[in-house]
Amino acid sequence: MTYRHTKVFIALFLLFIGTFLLGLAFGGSNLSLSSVVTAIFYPEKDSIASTIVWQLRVPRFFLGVLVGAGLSVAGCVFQGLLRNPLAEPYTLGISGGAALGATLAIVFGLPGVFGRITLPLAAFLGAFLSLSLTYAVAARRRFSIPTLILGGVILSFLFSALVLLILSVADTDKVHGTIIWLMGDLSTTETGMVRVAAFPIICGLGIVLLMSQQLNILTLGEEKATYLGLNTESLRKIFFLAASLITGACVAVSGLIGFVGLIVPHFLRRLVGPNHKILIPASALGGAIFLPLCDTIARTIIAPLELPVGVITGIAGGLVFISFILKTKSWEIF
Amino acid sequence: MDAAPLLKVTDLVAGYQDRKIIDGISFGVPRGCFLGIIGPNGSGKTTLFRVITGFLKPWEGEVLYQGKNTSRIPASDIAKEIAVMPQGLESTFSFSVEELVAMGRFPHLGRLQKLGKRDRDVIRQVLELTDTEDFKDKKLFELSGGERQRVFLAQSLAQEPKLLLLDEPTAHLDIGHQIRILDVIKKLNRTEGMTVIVVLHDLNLASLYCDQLILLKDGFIFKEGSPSEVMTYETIEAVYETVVLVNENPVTKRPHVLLVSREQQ
Repeated sequence: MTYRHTKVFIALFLLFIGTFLLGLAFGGSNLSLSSVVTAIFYPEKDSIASTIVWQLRVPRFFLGVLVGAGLSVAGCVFQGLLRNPLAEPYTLGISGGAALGATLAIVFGLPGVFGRITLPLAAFLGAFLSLSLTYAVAARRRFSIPTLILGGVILSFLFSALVLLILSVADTDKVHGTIIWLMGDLSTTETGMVRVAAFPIICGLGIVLLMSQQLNILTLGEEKATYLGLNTESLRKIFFLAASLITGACVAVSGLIGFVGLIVPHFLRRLVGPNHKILIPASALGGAIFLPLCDTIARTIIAPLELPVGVITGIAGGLVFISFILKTKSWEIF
Repeated sequence: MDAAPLLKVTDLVAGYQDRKIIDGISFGVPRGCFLGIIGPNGSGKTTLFRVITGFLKPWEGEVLYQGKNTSRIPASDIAKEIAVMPQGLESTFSFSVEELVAMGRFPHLGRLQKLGKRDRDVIRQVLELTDTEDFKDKKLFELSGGERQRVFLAQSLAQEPKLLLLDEPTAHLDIGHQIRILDVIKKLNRTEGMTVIVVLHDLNLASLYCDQLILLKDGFIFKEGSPSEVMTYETIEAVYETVVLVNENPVTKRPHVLLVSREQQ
């Protein structure tokens, strides 16, 4: 932790507080900053404002924090594990499996029968299926990185094709529902969901944080990592499972929110360097700012209607990231 | 030097898929020895190196470190005693020099992986020794090939190895950098008694630094012994299939190989 790192963390923390206040103030009806503060500290004074803040916006904000942090950390781990800066949480097929689970649930009308838990559960089961298949394929070849990438990417295509197959024969209204889910949004949930998602995300985060130096050494390549005493095969399994668990939980509660897991780790790697001891917590904080911020934009920009947050992360993230690449010297990107 | 060798290999046979590369190699390395492995391209140097380091499993035979079969020692224990610098080291992400060298301390760290005072002292010493402390905050891609190689040497030395294994540490380096790298290793070999096994392409460097040489040809040991025993023109011509002259370096009194082009033979 250098002086520069400390400065970045302080800046991130202040941004986080700012995002928090913005996220509570803006939405379908806008509140002033003072009424937000009043609602937080003296909820009994203004019951309408405090209901909006405590019942709607605080749970949603923290869902955004969890999913943003989770996807960013998962992306960071996949980039390090696969030694590929283009990797992201959905590279190895978890998104495909989750999409299949969610599509099946929507098309067969299961949420109407089993209630609100159905969709997250179906998506998580789908994610779990795809990560098991990727694991099984890769484990047959010593969990080597090329097998992991090829297996994951091909399974991802397979699942996408199945989703398209189902959509091609489904009713129009169900197709629309599925597409909205696929774009990703944070609106569908309640406080209970945040708690359910928090457990696997925080566990996964803890695991990768504790093993961050091992991840650093893995990026030197299998041969050198072995010589430094690491069991590279089992470490690759651990990182794959931890990052997949985080991703699966995120996808289950929020759909396929794109771009966060790709650009947040990149952006922070430029700011704090590639050392995962620093980069992982920084990415977590960065994602916890970026996603809730995008979500606030998504529900204010055409209020009272809402855009899926995945649209905003894609557009805003993409534009910011391209300008950032253009300003950076090419060899400094990773 | 101890009577019992630090490292001993017996009847090694190894290769890739169904292609046999080395065939029946046995030798011992005494403590404090500076051993060079030389031989033409494709003679099995790197394969032998990978079997010794444990990265490649032999088909037959065994590698004994202090009398114990290395395949039965956990990798994390081996890394406390043996450091390995393979060919073509790179870093995908732009770690700083100091971060890279600190990774060399990993085998000695406890559960929490926190660098202690002693770890920091070792890192500072190896940075000094390899003359890399001036750019410890720079990124690897900002350095020249020779500087990078010194950084990776520092990383291996940070392991405080009793045995150091290097595969062509001077490849693609200019003569100044070749000497700088090997001088550092020789110094530790002399002062700390660190045992060294190095694969070298350059016969004159091998002659200059090594106490013992193993000359490989087609996967077996063609000749072994001191540089003056191994590096005779008959032997070199037979193995490399080209005409050479062997002189004595007037300063070091070691054999020196001179090349002759086909036209002038």
